[in-house]
Amino acid sequence: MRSSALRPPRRSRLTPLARREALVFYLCISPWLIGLLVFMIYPIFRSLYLAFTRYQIGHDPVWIGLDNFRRLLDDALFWKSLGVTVQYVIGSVPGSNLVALGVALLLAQKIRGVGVWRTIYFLPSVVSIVAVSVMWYYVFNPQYGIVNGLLEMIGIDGPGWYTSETWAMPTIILISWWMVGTQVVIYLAGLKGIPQEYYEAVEVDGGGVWSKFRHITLPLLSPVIFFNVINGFIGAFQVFDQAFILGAGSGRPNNATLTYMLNLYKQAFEYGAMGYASSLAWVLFVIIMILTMFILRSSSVWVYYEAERK
Amino acid sequence: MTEISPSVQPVKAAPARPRGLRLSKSAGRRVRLTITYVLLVLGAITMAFPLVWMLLASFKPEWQILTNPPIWIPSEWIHAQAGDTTKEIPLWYVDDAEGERVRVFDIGTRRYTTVVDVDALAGAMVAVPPDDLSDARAEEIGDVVLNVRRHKDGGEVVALARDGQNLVVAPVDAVVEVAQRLPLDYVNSGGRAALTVGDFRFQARELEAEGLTVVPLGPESQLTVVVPEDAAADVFLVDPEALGDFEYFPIGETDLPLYALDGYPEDQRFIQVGLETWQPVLDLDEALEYGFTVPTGDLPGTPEMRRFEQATLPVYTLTGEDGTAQEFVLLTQTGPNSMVLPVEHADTIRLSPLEKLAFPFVKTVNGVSLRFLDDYFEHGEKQSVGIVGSRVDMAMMAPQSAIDDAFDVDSGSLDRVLKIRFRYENYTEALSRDMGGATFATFYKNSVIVVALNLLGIYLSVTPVAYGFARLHAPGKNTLFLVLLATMMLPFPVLLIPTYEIFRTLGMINTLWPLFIRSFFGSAFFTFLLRQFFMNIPRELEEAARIDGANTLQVLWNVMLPLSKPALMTIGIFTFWWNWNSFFEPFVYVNSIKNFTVTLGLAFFKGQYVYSFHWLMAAGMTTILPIIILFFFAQRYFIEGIQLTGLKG
Repeated sequence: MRSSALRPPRRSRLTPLARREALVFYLCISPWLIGLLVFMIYPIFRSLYLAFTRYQIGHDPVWIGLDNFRRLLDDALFWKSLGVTVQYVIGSVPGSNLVALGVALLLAQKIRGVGVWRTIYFLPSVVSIVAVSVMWYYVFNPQYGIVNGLLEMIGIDGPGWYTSETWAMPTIILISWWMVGTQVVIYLAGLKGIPQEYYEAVEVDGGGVWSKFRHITLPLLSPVIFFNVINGFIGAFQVFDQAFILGAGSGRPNNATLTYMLNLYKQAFEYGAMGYASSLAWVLFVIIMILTMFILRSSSVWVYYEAERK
Repeated sequence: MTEISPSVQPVKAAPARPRGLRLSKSAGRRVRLTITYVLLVLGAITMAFPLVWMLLASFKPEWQILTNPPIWIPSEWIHAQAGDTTKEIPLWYVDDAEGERVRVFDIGTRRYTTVVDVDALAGAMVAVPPDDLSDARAEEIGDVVLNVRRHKDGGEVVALARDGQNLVVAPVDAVVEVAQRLPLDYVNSGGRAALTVGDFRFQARELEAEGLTVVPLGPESQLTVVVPEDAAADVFLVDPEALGDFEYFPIGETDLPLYALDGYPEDQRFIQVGLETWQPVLDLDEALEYGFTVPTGDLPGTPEMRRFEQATLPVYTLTGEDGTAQEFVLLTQTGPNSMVLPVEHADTIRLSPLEKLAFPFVKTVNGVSLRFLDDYFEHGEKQSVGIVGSRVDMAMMAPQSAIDDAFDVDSGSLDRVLKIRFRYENYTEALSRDMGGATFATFYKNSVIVVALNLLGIYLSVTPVAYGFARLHAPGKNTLFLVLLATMMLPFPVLLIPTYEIFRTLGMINTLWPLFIRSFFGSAFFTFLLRQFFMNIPRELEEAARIDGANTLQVLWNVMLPLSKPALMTIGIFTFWWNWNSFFEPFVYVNSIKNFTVTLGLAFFKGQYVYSFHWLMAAGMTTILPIIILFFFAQRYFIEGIQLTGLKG
């Protein structure tokens, strides 16, 4: 490790003053250290152990080897919830990033009242997802909701939104496209970091809006896009609140909103299958890890790092 | 580019070129800017509209919440008092025969159909295969509505009957001549008759009044019968049993069924304005002051049913210890206990339409559950009433004389009589709604406790940890810092079940403890954030304090913290933000409604009052208000915090 190579040799035997400082250091970080042991390290090992047991709260865990994982392969709910979640991830991550990038590009123009615009675009992301979902529950009401009301005005027969098996998940995905404030802020920061000279260079070469975007903005913003996609990806796999509210807490209609986390919650706390739920959690962890690795690997193809250029 | 290369850029070579270029460039910029603004505005509408719609809905009365087409501005529907009763009849605007806009109320509907005298069409009828005809389309021609079909050889026809596989049709022009629109129930009251005209047979009705035998063709249409609002003053209630037979009478320009009523002269006729369920109520103060509880078993025999205004309630005669007999009205019973009221205090008993008594509260008075409302409006005044006795169906009647001016209108032409009014009661009602031992006040209290303790915990723990990592040296520090960074990546689902176990072992499930206790043990994200900030504070300041003899704590308190206000603000705001909005964790760790946080309470409220969107939106608004206020005052910190790490909770 780099740091150990830099460490001066005298550090191996500490002077009394250094020892005192080390003591103060450990005293300072002791709250976090205790937290780390109790709320991180112990739970990880415990959870890993429980994944191989049959376990109900109040009883002793019974070691059952790989049975939980075998059961999972045959569990229709597992596959259903995974499918629903993948549908959400595929719909929400690219969609919301496109929306956020578009909004950020607009806000990065030389416009008046950036603060006001930013506030408006950011507001939906500030309020709780539960409140927002309750609001959409009203707005998307199939019979009398304002969305179907407006659609009817222009002669479109609106779908059943969250009451329809085919439309329930698209509804939740649509909502995710609306809550893009944080991504916008990050993109905006990224855009601000692109030196103006680059654009001027393109202008000198006679390039238009598109070539500026294609040859300057996109490559220089790609690390930020990468960051947002990874983050969005990890978050999207754990989607819960929206699906809980719009699916009335039970994945309605017909498990069309039964996300992975909702299924995990139900297995653990409604059916009491804590061991099985632990194995579900680890499977989710592995899925997220593998896919993140995959995106990381692919990033060398599409993410442009300035460092490489130098 | 060649055009700006020195060889083609003599001073006078192309003077017009750069100017033209500049012009087109600025025009292009203007177009681009316009497009930007248009897109920004469209986007902003999309972003803000749902929230604005929610805000408007939170001020609307329940009936305006789900309407098609939507009602945009919260308003109040103006009602007329129905005679002496507590019923309020909604008023509509409609254009009367003179084209004047009048305020009316609806007293029923009339269905009409189109009939034809087929005898007069004898020569015009032919039978054609149905495939030669288009589908029927209702069209208003002259005074009548007809189902018009187009024949494939041209010409419009109306189908009159079936003839085997074929349809008997006649040209529209001929049909219009002999068609008339009549009330459906009048047509149906005519005797059935089989009619043969030429080779064709028809199902007809004999109308004695007209002396005609007609064929009903349809389409049927419905009109609303309305009367000017003054008529409401004459409305009174009767037991539906008192209604005699009805007959159709011409009233205004329509025919209406009028009833004879028992107990009224036979030549007087009445119209039924409504039939609905009514509930006896009485002033709550009266019931609480003079009512008392007796064991149900002590009530003697069968009660006498006595009328109080329009309400009928059982009256018992009880003999006191001194031998005096007193009469009591039975108000309500709960198991072995009965609540009674001396008859002399029963004069506030009256009937209320059931619709005004939705969602009553319940209080227990001496072992009897009494349902009551403290926001009951009667004659425009807010009152508190107790709900007693049993429901009864009552007919609302108006005398014939009151409805002389009745007329028919198309129901689509009715506009509600509205007055703009923001119904703030939605908020008080939603927030005071009792959900099994807790209201939103409880949820607010819990959320405030949770947020406050999280803030305390985060500040207490993160500051020394960040200081340690920023300034102090110790073996293993770098490794530990890497571990700290790694814990930020850890997905919480993996930790969920063991963490639940830990809290269960500590007896913290169903308390607020799990929602804040971990804050006292630091937070990787905030530690990282504050450490970065500490690193940028010049060491000299700290050393100066050290020389003055300050210890680590004093350095932290007197030097580091005052200089780290922006970072501390960000930490505080994020702690508030995430904990206020957090749903999953409270949902897992808290089951008892008394310990719900606002988000959890809102989700529960939604489950309980799924269709009471006016309350739901009001409750939702109150839960997001603190965050929105915080956001407006501290937007900078939100944005800087996000930019700093790009991390979202």
